[in-house]
Amino acid sequence: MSKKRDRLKVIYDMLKVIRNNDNSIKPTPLLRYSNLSTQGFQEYLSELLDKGFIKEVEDKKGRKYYTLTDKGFRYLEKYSVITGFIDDFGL
Amino acid sequence: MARNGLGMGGAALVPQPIVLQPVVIEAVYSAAIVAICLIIYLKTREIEKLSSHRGVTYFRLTFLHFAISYLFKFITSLQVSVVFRVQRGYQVLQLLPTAGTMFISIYASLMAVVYLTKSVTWKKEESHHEYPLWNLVSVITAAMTIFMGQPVVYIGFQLLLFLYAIVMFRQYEKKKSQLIKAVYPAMMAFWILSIADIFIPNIFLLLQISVYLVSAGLFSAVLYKVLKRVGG
Repeated sequence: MSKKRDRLKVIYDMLKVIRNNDNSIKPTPLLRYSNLSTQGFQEYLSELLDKGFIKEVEDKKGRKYYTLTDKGFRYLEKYSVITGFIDDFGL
Repeated sequence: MARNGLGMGGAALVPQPIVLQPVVIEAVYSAAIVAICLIIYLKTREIEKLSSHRGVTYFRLTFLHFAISYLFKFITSLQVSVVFRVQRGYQVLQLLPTAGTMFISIYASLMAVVYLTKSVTWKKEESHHEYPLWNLVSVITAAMTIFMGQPVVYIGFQLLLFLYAIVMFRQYEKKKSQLIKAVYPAMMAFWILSIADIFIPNIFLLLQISVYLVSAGLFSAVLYKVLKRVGG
C-alpha cells in the first residue's frame, strides 16, 4: 500500500499535471489526475489559487482553465530542495 | 551577559575594572553568530514562502531569535562597559537602557529554544495555541531576572527548557538527523555555558573563548547544511 501523500507532494503533483498538459488544463481532468476526493481537490485548488501558484483563465467560450504562474514553476523547480531541507532538519 | 559585574539587581551592580580584550572577543563572537543566524534566516525565506511549512517557519524563527538575542547580549555588555568606564558613580536611570537590552536578549533566547523544539515536534502536537503562554512565560522570566535581580531564574528556566527540548528530541528522533540528536542539544548546552558568566563574572577567559569557539562551530555546522541544501 502506498504511503499517504503529504501536502507538499499533493501540491507538487497537481502543479506537475498542469505543466505536463501544456500548462493549461480544465478543472475536471485536473481533478481526475490529482487523485483526490472532490472536497480535497477543492481545498487544494483554493490553496493553489490563494497562494498564487496557479491562475484561472477563461477562453472565449467561457470555459475555465488553470495555468501555472511563475511562482508555480518555481515551486516545481524547488520541490526537491524543499523536501530535502525538511528531511535534513527533521522539520 | 554580565561579564563586567552587571549582575541583575542593585546589589550586584558593582563596577569592575574594564578589560578591553574580553569585550573585543565578545564583539567578534557576537558579530559572527548574528551574521550566521541572519544568513540562515534570509537563505530559507524562499523555502518558507513556497512551502508555507510550519516546521520551516519555526526553524527560521529560531535563528531570528538567536540573532536578536546575541545582538542584544553584546549591546548589554557594551553598555555596561561604557557606563562603568566613563564614570564610577551611576544613577538608576542610566541602567534603564541596559535593563531593556538585557530583557530583549533573555526573552529572545528563551523563545529561540521554544521555536527550535517546536520545529521538530509540531507535527505530533494537537494544539498549536500555546504560543501566547510561552511568550508570557518568557516575558515573566526576563522581567523577574532583571527586576528581582535573580539570574538564577533565567538560568533555571533555560535549563528546564533545555531538558524539555532533549526529551522532545528523543521522543521524535526516529527518523531525525544527526542535527537533532547531537547538534541542536549541543547548541543549547553551549548557549547556557555562554551565559554562565552571570554567575561567574571572572570566568577564565580561555574557558570562555573555548565555549565561544565551539558554539560558533555548531552554528557554522547548521549554516553549512543550510547552504549546501539551498545553495550558497
